[in-house]
Amino acid sequence: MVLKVETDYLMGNEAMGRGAVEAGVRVVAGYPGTPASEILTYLSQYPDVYVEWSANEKVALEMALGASLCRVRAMAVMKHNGLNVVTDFLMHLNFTGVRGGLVLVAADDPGGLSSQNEEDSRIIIQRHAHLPLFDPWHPREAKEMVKAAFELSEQTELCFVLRPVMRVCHARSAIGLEALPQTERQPAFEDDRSRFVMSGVREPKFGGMLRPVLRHRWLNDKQPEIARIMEESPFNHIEEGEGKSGLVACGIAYAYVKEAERLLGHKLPVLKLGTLPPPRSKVLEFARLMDKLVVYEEVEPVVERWLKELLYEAGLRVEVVGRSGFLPSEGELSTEVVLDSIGRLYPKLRVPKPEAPPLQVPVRTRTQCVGCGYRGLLHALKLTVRKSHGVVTGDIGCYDAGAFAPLELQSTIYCMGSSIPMAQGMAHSGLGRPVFAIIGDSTFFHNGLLGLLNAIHSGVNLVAIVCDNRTTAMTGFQPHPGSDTDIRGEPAQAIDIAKMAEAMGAKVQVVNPYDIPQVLQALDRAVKGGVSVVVSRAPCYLLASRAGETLFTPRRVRVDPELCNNCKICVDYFGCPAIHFKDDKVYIDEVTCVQCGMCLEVCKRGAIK
Amino acid sequence: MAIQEDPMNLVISGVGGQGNILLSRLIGRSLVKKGYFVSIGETFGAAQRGGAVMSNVRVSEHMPLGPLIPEGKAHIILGLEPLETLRVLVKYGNPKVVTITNSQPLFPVDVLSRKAQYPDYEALKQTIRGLSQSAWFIDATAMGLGLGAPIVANVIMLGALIGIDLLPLTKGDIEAEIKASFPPDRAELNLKAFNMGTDSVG
Repeated sequence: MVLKVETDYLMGNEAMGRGAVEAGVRVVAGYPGTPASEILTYLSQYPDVYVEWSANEKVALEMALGASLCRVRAMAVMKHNGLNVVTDFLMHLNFTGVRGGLVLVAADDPGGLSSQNEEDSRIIIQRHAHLPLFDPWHPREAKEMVKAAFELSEQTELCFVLRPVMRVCHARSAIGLEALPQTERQPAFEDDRSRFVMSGVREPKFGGMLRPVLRHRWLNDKQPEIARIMEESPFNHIEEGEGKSGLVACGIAYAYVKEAERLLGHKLPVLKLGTLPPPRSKVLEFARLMDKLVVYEEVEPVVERWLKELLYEAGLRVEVVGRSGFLPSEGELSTEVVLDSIGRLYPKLRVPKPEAPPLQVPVRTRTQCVGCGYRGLLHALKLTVRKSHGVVTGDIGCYDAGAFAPLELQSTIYCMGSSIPMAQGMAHSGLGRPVFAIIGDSTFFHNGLLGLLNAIHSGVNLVAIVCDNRTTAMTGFQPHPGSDTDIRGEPAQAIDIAKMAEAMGAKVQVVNPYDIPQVLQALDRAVKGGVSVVVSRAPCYLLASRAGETLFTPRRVRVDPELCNNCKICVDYFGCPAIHFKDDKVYIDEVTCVQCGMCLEVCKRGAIK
Repeated sequence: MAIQEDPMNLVISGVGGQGNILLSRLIGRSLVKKGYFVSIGETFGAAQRGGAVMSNVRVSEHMPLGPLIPEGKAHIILGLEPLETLRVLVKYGNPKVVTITNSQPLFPVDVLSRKAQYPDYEALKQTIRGLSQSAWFIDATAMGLGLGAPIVANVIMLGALIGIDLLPLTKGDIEAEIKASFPPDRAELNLKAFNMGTDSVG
């Protein structure tokens, strides 16, 4: 019997963290990324758990497996982009299996609300790596799934995966807390080289079969066991209802289907699914009573195709539709999408879409915070690029907002660490224009280092600007290998980016981004040849203000209307939200201004005083 | 306290850095303590950086709910910025919706760089009024400046929300939550701000 000790009001991410502690997790590693970041932050309050922000997701999962092989429970946490980084290791881990329970959380962001792309992690996990997966609909279920995943991982010796989406990670509700386990497990490691040494050698005990094939067979032989587990899983169930078109609600889609039923005041037949693989006999039991199944899932037609296969093999002629065309094939699901589809399945249940007033509301693009040092750096880079007719490749982090209006500085942004290699490629193309790569500190450690090393080795001409603000600011101020404290705020060895770049043989300059003339001079010198690294070093303004640290002498500024000739350099090449422009006049909004004084340097006429 | 409609749907909208998420957490925690089913969906990631941020707060006496309010189904919209009230009103509003708006505009970067236009303020106010059953405008930023801390505008707005008495929460519920959430000196400032807010609609 589980003892419920109390109820807390938790975010989905925190609920998953709590589930892991209740399951007795001992080692947790991850890399920050919306929507999954708060799982580790929550776990850092438990002193018995080793928690770290790793340099990247691959490092995190490798660490977690290392712990698992010593028979303790471990977890790795990341967003979908991180799962891509992890894939190589994952395609070995699936063949070896685990010892202590190992859970991987790969959070998805359908609709790309806070990501550079949208993708469906279930494809890599299930279709590619053949690992079992849970897809929660609610923070409470997510917590239960984490606990079940640890148990089942040990039972099956396989890594179990949770794929929560943004709307589960960032949902909050009352969560029941259960007692934490009291027994401490003794770590132990025993060799099993035929399993944990992945290599193309022959296995004499198995007639000389090559080890990769033998391990592949091991994974395939696990599948019937997984199928049986999912068959009995409490995370799948059938709800009876009126009609011959059955709604298959996977993960978060269950929330939208239930909402639609409530709004319509009508109970429809529903198959709620929370597992991959789906439970075969439940699916058949449900399908036998239906003419058609509609699969609601985020975001690719994964379950839809699975059901098509399953029904074909069972000889059932039931039409299956979903994300392959009946529902939108891109973007996030919603109650509106479900209502619209129910209206097409059951014309009597068609509801008119609420009419939105025909109003255009201007978009609100994010930018650097007022007072952020990156604004000074980006301004200097903008001037340098204009003067030198350069091209800028970008990367992932707060400074990426330089790519948007008004600066429109970076010409490319892809994934973590791609800025420097892309700049190198541009330089080798024979373009003949100066190339600049701009990358943040956390991103540099994550996957930028190798690009820089490669560029230096190639002897190309490029300027790599590393924005060192001592934290992973974009995702909520998580420390990284360049930070001097760890996730709990304890002292940690900070790795110096400038020294590292110097050791690799680059010409390195360190600048203060608040000192615009200094940055301009450094960039001017950097363009002159070879790989030149400019490290912009100043703490994140928000983090510093919280800690009571001052980064500049506060200067109250105003615009002198006599001297201002409306050239708008302060708006278009600096873009501080505290500099307003109205009725052809520039003025400083005193409520927004934090008195960093950088704009004094921006105005060439001295009109900002 | 019974809620007038079940579920009751509240949208809090604003700009990253205004303290939107803090409000939904204070409200959510207070409601959970009173035994309601509360579901909150937060759209952030652009938090702190001047993007649009929205929280969906859903309250029920009977059932757990999904985190997102369906379109056209908000009962209350608390807008920390007028344009953000309008953005949410267009999508989640209906003829019965009540709106409470901080009247201080914050210009989007796209407006500052002349790629878009901020609507004329009086026209914007009229549009919000026209789309709401009742519309409150509170000059919370100016009131916060009066306290020497424009940052507490969000808590002043929370005061106004509790003051209009549509949520099953008393002043005391939120005051207790503020005391529990801030160190003593910050709690005092926030309580002052909260009371200014409740008085502003009294």
